[in-house]
Amino acid sequence: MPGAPPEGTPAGTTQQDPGGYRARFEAALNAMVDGLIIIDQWGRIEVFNPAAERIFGYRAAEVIGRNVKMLMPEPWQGEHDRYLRNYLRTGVPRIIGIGREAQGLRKDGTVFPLDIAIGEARGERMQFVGIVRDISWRKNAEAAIRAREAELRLIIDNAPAGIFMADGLCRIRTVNPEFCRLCGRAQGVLLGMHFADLVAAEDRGIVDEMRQAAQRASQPDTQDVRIRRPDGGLTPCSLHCSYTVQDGQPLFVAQVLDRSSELMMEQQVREQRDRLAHVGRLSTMGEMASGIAHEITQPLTAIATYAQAARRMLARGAQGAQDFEEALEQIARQAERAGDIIQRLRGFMRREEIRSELVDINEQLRAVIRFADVDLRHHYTRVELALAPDLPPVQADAVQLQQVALNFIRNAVDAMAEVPPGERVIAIRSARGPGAAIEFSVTDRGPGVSPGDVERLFAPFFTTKAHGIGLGLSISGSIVAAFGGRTWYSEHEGGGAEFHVSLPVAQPVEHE
Amino acid sequence: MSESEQTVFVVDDDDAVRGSLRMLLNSVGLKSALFPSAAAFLAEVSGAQGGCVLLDIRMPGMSGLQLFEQMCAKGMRLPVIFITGHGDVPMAVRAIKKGAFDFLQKPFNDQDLLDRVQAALGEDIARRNSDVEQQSLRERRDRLTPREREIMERVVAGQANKVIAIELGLSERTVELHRAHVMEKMEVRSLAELVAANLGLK
Repeated sequence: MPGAPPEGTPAGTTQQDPGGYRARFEAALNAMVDGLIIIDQWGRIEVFNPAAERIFGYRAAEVIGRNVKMLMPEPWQGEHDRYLRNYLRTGVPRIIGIGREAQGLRKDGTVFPLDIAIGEARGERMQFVGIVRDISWRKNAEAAIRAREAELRLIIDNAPAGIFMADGLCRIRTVNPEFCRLCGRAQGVLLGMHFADLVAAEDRGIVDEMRQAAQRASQPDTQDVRIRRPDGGLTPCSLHCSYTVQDGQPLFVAQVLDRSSELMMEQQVREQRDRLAHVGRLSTMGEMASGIAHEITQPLTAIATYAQAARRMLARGAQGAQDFEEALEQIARQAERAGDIIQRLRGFMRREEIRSELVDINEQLRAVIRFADVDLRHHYTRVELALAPDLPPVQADAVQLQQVALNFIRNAVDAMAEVPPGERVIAIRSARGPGAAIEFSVTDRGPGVSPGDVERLFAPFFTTKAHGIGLGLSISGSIVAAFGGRTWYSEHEGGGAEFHVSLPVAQPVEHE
Repeated sequence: MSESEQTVFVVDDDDAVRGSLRMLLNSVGLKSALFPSAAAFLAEVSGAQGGCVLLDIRMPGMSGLQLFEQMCAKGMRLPVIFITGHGDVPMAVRAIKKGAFDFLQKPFNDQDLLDRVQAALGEDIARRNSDVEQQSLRERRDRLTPREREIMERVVAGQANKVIAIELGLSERTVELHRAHVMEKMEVRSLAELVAANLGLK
């Protein structure tokens, strides 16, 4: 039984080596990748192979005969003798035959993780064999993976986009807080749900299509979908879905961006533009008021005069139903004429929901000319029309498009104030533009725009008119831009200003 | 010339306004002629016809104001009543200053219109009559000898026969004789009539 170890060299090390057994053993020791240490029952190191030397940084000669606890950091260093005694007394193994992770202490004082397996040799005397493997690199790699996972988690959890991952059936496996927020559901509820069950019923088809497209092309695709919250509300989102295969299993990784505030802002901009456009029309009406009043006065004058003439004829006892019939017919017709003018005005002034509809540019140009006729005649101005036949429609709002054309026409009228009345001509053209576009232009025979002013023409509050507020062209520009088109100015050959609009041809609607 | 030979010339580019004016004028027995433009009017109407003109101030091509200026330049003396629309009143006032008879704003009261048309027609007659009177006075004056004309001017200026005789170095009897010829040739019976005839010649 152990007590104090006997003095001197451990037994056996000086014995003969019958049959080369010892030589083979030494060769094996030297070739081992793992460290091998043999101790006696008192813990004294008897064998310390080259691998152990590499692992602990000691030469064998430095450790042979010394207590093995020198290779352990605290608290094991202080406890090891007791462990050993306990085992020898009770026979209950704590580590022997099991192997486990432990820590080693190198010569330079560094502590490192190691795997250790211990065996027991009960020969003529008690020996313990320990095989040691340095696992620092493995520990480091594991720590690095954990750190990267934590970083990724941090990024995902704080991402401004909702992120979820789903399996091949689109069952949700992972979510981040933003995704929970925009779904209005807790993480625990979302896990296991089918994503298609989270979107508006009408958008489920989109999700299916995206899933198939992602699987086919593995090229990420973005689509607008509306997510249905438990309160019944819909969150407009853009869904960006990519597909991969992980461990042989399909995996969808999707980002979901909440577009509510973006759409609300777009809506506000649109409303503001429409309000401004309406104000622009009111202001145009103000400028045209004199001409409009004049135009309505004509039929009113005729009505009053026919009625008075008929009254006088009656008073005189005049015969001749024909004259009365003519008077009455004219009165009715002129009342209709006045009504038409007011109708046109109202149509132009109305402030309804702005529609994006299929619009025939030629039809709108003709409507504008009918409407502007009052003003044109008032200013002794003639219109030359050159409309290309069979133009495809554009996507726009008819009234706003008329407003743009009317603005150009009124500018043209104003530009020709100094031109002799007989020579005031406005040329209005429509044509197919380059690419899939429709263009129209309004040309006057005025002095044109001075080169220094051309750049500022479409800027708000820029005006060359004494009483203008400078919003007409700016509003026109924004109306056209809202429908995907553009406006520009050019000098007409031979003088005069030419204002252009180009609008994309409407895409044919796809029928399913 | 009498009213029945007068015509109201209506120049307005609006068919309905023209048509209604024809009916209104017709209802009180006035003859009218309608023209859709200044050019059409100038092509058909000369200064010889009697009547008045209802003229729209604002028309495409030649405006009412331009037509009026042309009429003045050609010596056409038909009274012109301008019909103005909204906002054209300052233009009408300018026309009045240039000698137009009157202006009416659309839509107008029928009685106002007819009153002014009647007044214009009256003016036209008065002017034409005074034209005739002048013509005959001029013819009568042209029958006088230079000596008789000189004596008439002095008589009308209020000189007594005796003064005229001394200043012209004639006998008073000779002056009396000339004066009797003047009264006879000028077809007047009193000094007052002679003075009036001379005023008409101015």
